[in-house]
Amino acid sequence: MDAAADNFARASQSGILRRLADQGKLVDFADVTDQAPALGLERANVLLSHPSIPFISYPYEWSFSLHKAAALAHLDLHLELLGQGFTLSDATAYNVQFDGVRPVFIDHLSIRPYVEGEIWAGHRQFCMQFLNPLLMWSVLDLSPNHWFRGSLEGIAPEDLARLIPMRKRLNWTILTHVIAQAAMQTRSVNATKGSVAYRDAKLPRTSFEAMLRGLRSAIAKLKVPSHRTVWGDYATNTSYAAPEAQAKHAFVKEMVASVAPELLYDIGCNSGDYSKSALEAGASKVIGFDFDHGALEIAHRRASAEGLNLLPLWLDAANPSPAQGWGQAERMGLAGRGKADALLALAFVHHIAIGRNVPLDMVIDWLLQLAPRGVVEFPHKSDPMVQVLLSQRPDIFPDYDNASFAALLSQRARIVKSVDVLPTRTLYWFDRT
Amino acid sequence: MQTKTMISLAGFTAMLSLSAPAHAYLDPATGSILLQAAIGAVAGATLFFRTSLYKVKALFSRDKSADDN
Repeated sequence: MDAAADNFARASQSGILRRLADQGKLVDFADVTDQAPALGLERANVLLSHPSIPFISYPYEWSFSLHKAAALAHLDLHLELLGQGFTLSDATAYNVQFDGVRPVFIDHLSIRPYVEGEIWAGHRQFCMQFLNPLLMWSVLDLSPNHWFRGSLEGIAPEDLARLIPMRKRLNWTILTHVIAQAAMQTRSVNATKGSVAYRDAKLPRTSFEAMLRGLRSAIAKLKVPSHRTVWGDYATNTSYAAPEAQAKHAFVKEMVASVAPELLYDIGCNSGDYSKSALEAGASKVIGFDFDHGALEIAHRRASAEGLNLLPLWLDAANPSPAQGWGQAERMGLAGRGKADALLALAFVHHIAIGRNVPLDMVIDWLLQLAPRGVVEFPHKSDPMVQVLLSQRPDIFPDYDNASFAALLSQRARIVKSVDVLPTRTLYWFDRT
Repeated sequence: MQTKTMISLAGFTAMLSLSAPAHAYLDPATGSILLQAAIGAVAGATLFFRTSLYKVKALFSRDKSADDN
């Protein structure tokens, strides 16, 4: 008896998997069971093949808008499945990946026939990996990325419950899914009864759907208080068209047109200006990285509104996601996760070299191991952007200058072209192939 | 809030009578199960009450306009 094979057969025969894949909600797949023996997998009941995803992102790298979109997509999928007599076995955020900023579900085997009355086994997982991080944003105005990265299974209701201020506890969603669940969990753990209630618990389908709909409408309304000011600032800043911007865009487009990258990393993507230029010049897909959540929200909105194949992710370049989880290999570190064909590092190196005290040669090494070609901008020490970083501390960077940077870069790669977009800013197009 | 609590308790007790098959690799956790038994009853009941309340409200608004006339 193979429950998994039976479940998959029923899901497959109903056509639901194919329908979802055709709608782009589920990663495409093909049944290649006939090839199993040739691959030494004679004992396999089913063998599926699917297209490889160029870049995997993890929930602790998501911005608020990405996480919210993932949660809503998960709930919408679950409701659609229940309508067809199917359900999801779990509710892990790692089952959601992104195509641009569009969420896509990747776990075909999580979809299985629904048994009337069964409880939602994934409820706690949904709360830990979707609801609680979003509540941390909305209720506490804190980013959950640091916490989620350390606690790979998410944020426990028992922990979040301790942080919710009294006045925020009267919200129905928080009262039930956080406070009450935490209280019941703590009490049951102390009683050491284990999951005894499981076999006796029943949740009618109508109630299950009502609960999912309740969560969906609550999550749809969530906003981050401090992000309200982000849009105003953006509007003010973009009304001033920087003179060097045109030259920068032209230089970036020239590199991209020449390299035609399938995958491009925009390190320090900010609001996605240059990611967009790269896409216009022929890059197929851009992953944007930035440390500033406000910028990520703007980049996300643009990618969404303009249909850009851009995924803006949160990154602390001086402390990127490490390889972690079981055997320190369950979740991949940033290095080696994707095969970027090119990168952009504009208005970036000074943040690391000056702001985080990383020697210039190490900064260059780090960038060059991410992609074989790209454009790096070197802001000179006299540039206002660098002066801001030096305003509150002594200048301990005698070797931070354009000549040293050019020398270090040319030792590691060929400088195809360089241009001073401003007297204090030099762009370098490098190629280490 | 009182009504909801009462419904929760009633629903919860009713639900303890039937069994559900064991599934999967995921341990649902007792706190989650207890909560679902409670919320599930409420969510279903709220929907029921909302539709019933609408009918009651509709009744009253008809009577009122009859009185005014």
